[in-house]
Amino acid sequence: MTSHPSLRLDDVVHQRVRLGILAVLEEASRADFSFVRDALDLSDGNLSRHVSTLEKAGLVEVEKGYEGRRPRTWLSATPAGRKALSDEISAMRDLISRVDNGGPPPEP
Amino acid sequence: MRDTDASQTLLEVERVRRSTRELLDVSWFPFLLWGSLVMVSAPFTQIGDGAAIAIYWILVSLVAVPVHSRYYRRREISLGVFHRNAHAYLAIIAGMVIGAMLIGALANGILADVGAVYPIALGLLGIGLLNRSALFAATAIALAAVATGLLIAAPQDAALYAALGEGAIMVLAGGFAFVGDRSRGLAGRGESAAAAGG
Repeated sequence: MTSHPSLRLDDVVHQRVRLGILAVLEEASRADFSFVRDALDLSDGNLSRHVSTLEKAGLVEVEKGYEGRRPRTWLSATPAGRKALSDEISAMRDLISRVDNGGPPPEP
Repeated sequence: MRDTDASQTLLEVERVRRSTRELLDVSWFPFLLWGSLVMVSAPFTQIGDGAAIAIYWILVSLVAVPVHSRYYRRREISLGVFHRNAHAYLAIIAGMVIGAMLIGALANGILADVGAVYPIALGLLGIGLLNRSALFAATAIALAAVATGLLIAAPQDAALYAALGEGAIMVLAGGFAFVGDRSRGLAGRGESAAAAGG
């Protein structure tokens, strides 16, 4: 028997802002910190805190550099980050499908 | 986690992905650029034994491919986000240009006049799959349909009709893309810097 989909949700990824960060980075090879901040309508501090969590988990890479004279902080999803997003989406879809079909709750 | 929470989160994730993708995949500029160049090529199809149109495309590609690529690069720098599939796009565009040139050079008769459209249509279909863009797929199908129609009808000036018809389809696609991008607030974002090269 396969595990209940809610048990496959990752505590690091399963948070609205972190899912948003990974969703933006999934579509890009890299994105500037300010682009992600504006895309998700976050403050610098809020984004910074969540990026730090994802970076510690090895899901996002942070690279500081310059584009011309302009300092930039580049964010990119690691292969593990892309897989984590894909797994999370798959688990949520299974969860919705299971609830819609009246499946049992997760075992304690 | 409640079912509605999961549904709303999934919708939000998809919305963020789609808006990032749409911002990166703005396509009016290349359609208008290449469509205009195809239309301008029409008179060259009527000169000599095909050398004029071959030289036209070699010279135009040397300028247009870097202009096309520079437009997207500048736009990415200005917006602060870089496309995930940039290398795949460049490979497809190179394949389109080389394929069209090879067919023009190696094929005979009406196939030499019209057949170059097929690698272009195939490339647009490939980009359409990467972008998940119905406009690219529809343009590819329209181009292939015009080319096939000309191959079957085999009019005397097939190359001229092909250049005018296919150029017009691409310019029209550029117009549709521009209106669509503009209505979603995408046309113009990051483009003043892209156009100015800064």
